[in-house]
Amino acid sequence: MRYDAAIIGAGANGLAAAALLARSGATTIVIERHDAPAPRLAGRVIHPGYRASPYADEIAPISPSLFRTLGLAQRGAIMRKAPHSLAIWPECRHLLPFDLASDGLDLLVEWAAFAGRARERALEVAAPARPKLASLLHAVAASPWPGVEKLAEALGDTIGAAIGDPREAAHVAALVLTGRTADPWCDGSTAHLLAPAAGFGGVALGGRFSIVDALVSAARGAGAELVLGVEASELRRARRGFGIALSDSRDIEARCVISTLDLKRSFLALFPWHALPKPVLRHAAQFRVAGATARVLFALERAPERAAPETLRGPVHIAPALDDFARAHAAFREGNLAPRLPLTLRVPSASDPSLAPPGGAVITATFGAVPFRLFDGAWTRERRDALRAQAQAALEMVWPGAGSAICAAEVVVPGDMEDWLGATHGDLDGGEIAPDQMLDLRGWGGSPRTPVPGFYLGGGSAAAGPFGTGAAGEAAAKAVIADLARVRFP
Amino acid sequence: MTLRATAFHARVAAANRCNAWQTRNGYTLAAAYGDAQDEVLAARSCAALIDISWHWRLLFEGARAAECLSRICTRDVSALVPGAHTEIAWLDDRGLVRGAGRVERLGRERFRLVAAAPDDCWMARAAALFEVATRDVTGQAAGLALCGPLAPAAVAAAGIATRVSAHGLQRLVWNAREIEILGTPSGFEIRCAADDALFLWDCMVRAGQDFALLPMGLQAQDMLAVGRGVVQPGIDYRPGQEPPEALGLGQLVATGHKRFNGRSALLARPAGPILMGISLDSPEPAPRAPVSFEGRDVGRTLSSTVSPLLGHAIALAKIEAGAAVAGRRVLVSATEGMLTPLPFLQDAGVAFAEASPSV
Amino acid sequence: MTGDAIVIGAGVNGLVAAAYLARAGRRVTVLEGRHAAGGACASTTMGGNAKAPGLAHAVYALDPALVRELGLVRHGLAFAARDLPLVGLRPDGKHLVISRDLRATEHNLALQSRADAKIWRSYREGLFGFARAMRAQWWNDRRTTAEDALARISRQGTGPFLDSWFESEGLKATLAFDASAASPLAAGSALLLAWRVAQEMGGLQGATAILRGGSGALIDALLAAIRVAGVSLRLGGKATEILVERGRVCGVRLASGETLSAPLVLSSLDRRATLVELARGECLGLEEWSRLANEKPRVASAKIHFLLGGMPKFSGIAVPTVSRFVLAERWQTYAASHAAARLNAMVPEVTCEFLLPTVADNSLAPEGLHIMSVLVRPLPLSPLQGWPQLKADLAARVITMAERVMPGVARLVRDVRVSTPDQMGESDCRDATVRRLLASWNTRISTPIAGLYLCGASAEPASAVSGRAARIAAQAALRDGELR
Repeated sequence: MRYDAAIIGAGANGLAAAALLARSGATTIVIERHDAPAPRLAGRVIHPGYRASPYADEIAPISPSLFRTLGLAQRGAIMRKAPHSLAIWPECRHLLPFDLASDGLDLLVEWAAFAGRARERALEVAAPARPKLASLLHAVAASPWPGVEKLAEALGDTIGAAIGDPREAAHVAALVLTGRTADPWCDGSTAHLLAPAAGFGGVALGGRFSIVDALVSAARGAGAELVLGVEASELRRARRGFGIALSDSRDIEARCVISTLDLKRSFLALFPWHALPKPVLRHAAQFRVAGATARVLFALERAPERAAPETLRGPVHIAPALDDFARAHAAFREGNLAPRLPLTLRVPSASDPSLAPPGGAVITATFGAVPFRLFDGAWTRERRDALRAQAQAALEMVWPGAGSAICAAEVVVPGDMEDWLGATHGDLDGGEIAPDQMLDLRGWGGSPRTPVPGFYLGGGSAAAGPFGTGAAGEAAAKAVIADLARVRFP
Repeated sequence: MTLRATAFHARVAAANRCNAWQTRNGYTLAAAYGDAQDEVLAARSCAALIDISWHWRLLFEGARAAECLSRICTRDVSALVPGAHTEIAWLDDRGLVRGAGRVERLGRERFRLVAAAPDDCWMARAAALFEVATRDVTGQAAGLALCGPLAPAAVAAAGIATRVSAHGLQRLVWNAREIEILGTPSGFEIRCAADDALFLWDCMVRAGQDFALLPMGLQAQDMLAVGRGVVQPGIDYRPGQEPPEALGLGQLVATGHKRFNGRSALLARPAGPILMGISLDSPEPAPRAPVSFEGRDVGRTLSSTVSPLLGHAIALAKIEAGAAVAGRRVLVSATEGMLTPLPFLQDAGVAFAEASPSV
Repeated sequence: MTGDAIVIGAGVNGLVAAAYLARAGRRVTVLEGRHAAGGACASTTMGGNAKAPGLAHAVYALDPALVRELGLVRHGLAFAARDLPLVGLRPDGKHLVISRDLRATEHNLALQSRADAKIWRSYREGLFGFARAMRAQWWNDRRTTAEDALARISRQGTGPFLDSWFESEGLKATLAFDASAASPLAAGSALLLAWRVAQEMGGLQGATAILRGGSGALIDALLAAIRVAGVSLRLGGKATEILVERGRVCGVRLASGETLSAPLVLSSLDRRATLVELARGECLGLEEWSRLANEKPRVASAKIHFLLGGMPKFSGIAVPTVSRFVLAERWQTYAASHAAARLNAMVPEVTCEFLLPTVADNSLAPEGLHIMSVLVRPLPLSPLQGWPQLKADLAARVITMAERVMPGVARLVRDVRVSTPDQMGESDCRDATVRRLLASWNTRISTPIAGLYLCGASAEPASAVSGRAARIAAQAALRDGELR
């Protein structure tokens, strides 16, 4: 069978790309190794009747134009923003409402605008007005988007300069670094303000699975073929495109391929080692990935009693302090767990009741600065239990008595995320968030095109990857559509 | 976040017939007691009573307080004698407005800054450079403003014997209670301890009966502010976004004052937009939208309201210096209007007894 | 007393500024709070009559233009060693010797990794070429032609940058020392490597030199130069206040209460000390004032001198003894140290550079005695335990590390002198950021007060004994004087 485009991975990026490509008239196939589409968004059963996503409770914002083009609203995707964020310290608390003007909100809005501009820029590069493949590959934009000169500063300084109140500053840092790690005093950590759903703009879902269904329906509705439970085991460069060997022993051909895997896997796992040019291998080797997220998913028989509403409807950051992020990051770099890990609690079942049976609740704890590989050994049962105990203590602090209602708990560490999701080192951002990665290493010159003609990056590691759900898929699809029309592939 | 109530809340709640509330600065305040238009008319022609306890008040104390505030404020407040006050703005390093308000000199080394929106951290950082202590005293006293042409008569009828001028501040004992009374261009402000607040309210309402005094809510205050050409922090601007001229605060900047923060940056800045009024042809207030003149965008509207006194909608707008010519017809979204110099209406003015400031 | 110009501080930069102003016919007074000129370069003596170098034990950034224009060679400036090889000492004895001789270097690097040896030439050519292109900006305040490369390298950390070239930990750790004023993870810290390579000593790009007669010889040459030019030098004249009138500098008040007036003042102190402490915030925006006043540099370096009773012996392969030696495990060690130092904690592992100046110049010490001059970087500026407690411990940690590559060195130690960051004025780690490296000269040397200029090491793109900031500030001050 021969297709115009094959897309590897049926996540939000893959489905968005498939829908856009199929709409443009290209014959499109999406290959997903899981039995269900978008495993990252969909979540799993953690206890009979309880479901939660092992990866994240929020979905990074989907650009309004993509949302409209794919008609996601008509297909039943209902998005809801968290109304506020809360930070709790033993002696006080700080609430950051997302609708009331404040220094912290101003800063987040400013950076959300930068991220939006960066996404637009990535789309411009993908579908240029006058395409010239050769020059595009080497195009380095002088100033890719506004605010880019601020990237080289330290996150702590950027936040401190914009926010007078030290509590609010620590709170905003916690929002930005939820489930991540960075030394806020190290130059360049400001790049995290651009990262996906940097707290603000994050979207909780009314009916978490509606977004997956909507994306699948958009892709299928446009005529894309979706193959589930099948893995692309090898990519060969054929005379007119690519030959793809599938794990069900089928073999298909495609004029071009979009990989939504991370950059390392896209090259090092899909292609045979000898088939790639040296610079590509070097680029893939230089690209840095570092998973830092661990999660504990709690199923509760009964929702926390007398819980303050602000603790239920947004993230609750436990005692954030800028110096603690720095300490946790230093330990992380050495493969250690800091004594005080950054921790954020959420009650996803409060905004999406379908996640728990009536009366019950799902509470998640998200740790940052958790290394993929520990310096002194493996992720043993004891270590996982220690994380769980830490999360449970925080949960007890926020909702006294809730600990006794726990009926199941599951600990997810970066290694699990790598196994289940196929993200190298469990890195959910598709690569370390740093200025050189953002501007130079994610993609080539900000483009989804790669030096392998006909092979495109459309996942989290692409240039547009950090700028929203589906943005990288959209950019890759735009590039493919532009090139299919104009470029003759070998 | 819990909303705070002012010391007058019991009386305000009783008088608030429409039960219309609004929050500002973290306080629950009456949006309108009855009809906002009536309240505006009362303030223009008779007298109106306003709960201003929510205003941000910051106390500066220290040997170098005068030096510090002169550096912060766009006017030289070290020239103020104790018992006098002046309107000021304060700018950031780039010459952009952070806020505007009033500085009252309470003593040789004591000043009070009063403004509609707080800027605690910025002020604390600036004051620390001069070893000056700042203290937020917002909640500590109750404040009432009396405005309108009959305000002096109402104050006199309440038995407050004051000879305060429009730029003065006086402390006196009234009915065995200590109060502080301030003259402003539009009337008086009276402050008292929170415990005495209800007594003060009752006395003023009783004394004002003969002068058709009405309590005035935020809606009416905002209408009057647009009419006077006064921009409001948090509504019309955020700190550090606009130069003073764009907010109509140019007259607060004393260029003769050589030391204020942001002065050199302000002088180096090319002429930007200025604040103008737009008298709209429509009976509806204008949305926040671009203002165009002959098909070209020349500015943006800020607050807009329907003026009960003028009978049509008016708006404040930032207009490019080149295009800011009074009498020009401009387009705001779909509505036409005319550029008008500010204020739309002169204040009725309050006749003060001639007096010199004293404590 | 009145004059045409006052220079605060009689370190290299202060003296250079004074010399330039005096050569242009200005009556200049140099004020120095201490009782000897020299600042970071002043030599000290140990064990009777061994001369230890000052805080700057080698020179690598001295501005060639000023050496020429001030005739320093005529005034006695000479090199004991013009081009020191860089030697990375490894505990396994396979030391890395990096010198100007490409073939020898490649041969040596192959001991650790063949791939590194193969790529060495293109690394060196690439970096040297880029650095030369950057001179337009760093030397002459013009735009560089290497904008694309600059954009890329100015967001790269030293660690990832070196990772992209080499595989051996030893080579990366050795090269990274020159950029260790900033964390190797900090965006743009790789630019420090290029800055170092952009410098030139004795006509050789990227060379490190030792002066004949110790680092104090540079001060002696400069003192001779200003004497000829007719500058008056006041030792023990500590400036306590910069006087400002109507936004213009008008003089300096001394600790003695005496006032000197002059329409030009050049300060070799850093921006904070000059504008906040001496000029008391005059003409400064409140936000910038507050930022400067509360600025807490946290990372610093320390200097340790060991007086050795004999020549230490190196284990492993033979290394040239007139070299710059680096002791560092991996580049990540610097990152961990920076992270700890930023949190005011003692570093987990020490990284340092050391020299044996007495080998290059045997006039510095009596026969048989040697000085080992060590620069430890990075360190916390003010660790929680306090430097007095940590001082002895720091020297012990350095000598333990040295013992691994120079067995028996500990027994040779006759005397130790530790200058911890709290005793040293300005730190070379202060504000080692891309912003500073890429700022224009004008923003670095000028102040909001007319007639007041900064001419110290903190006005350089990166702190070093260079004198370039002083030369450029003096020229700007002279122009300013003419305009008036």
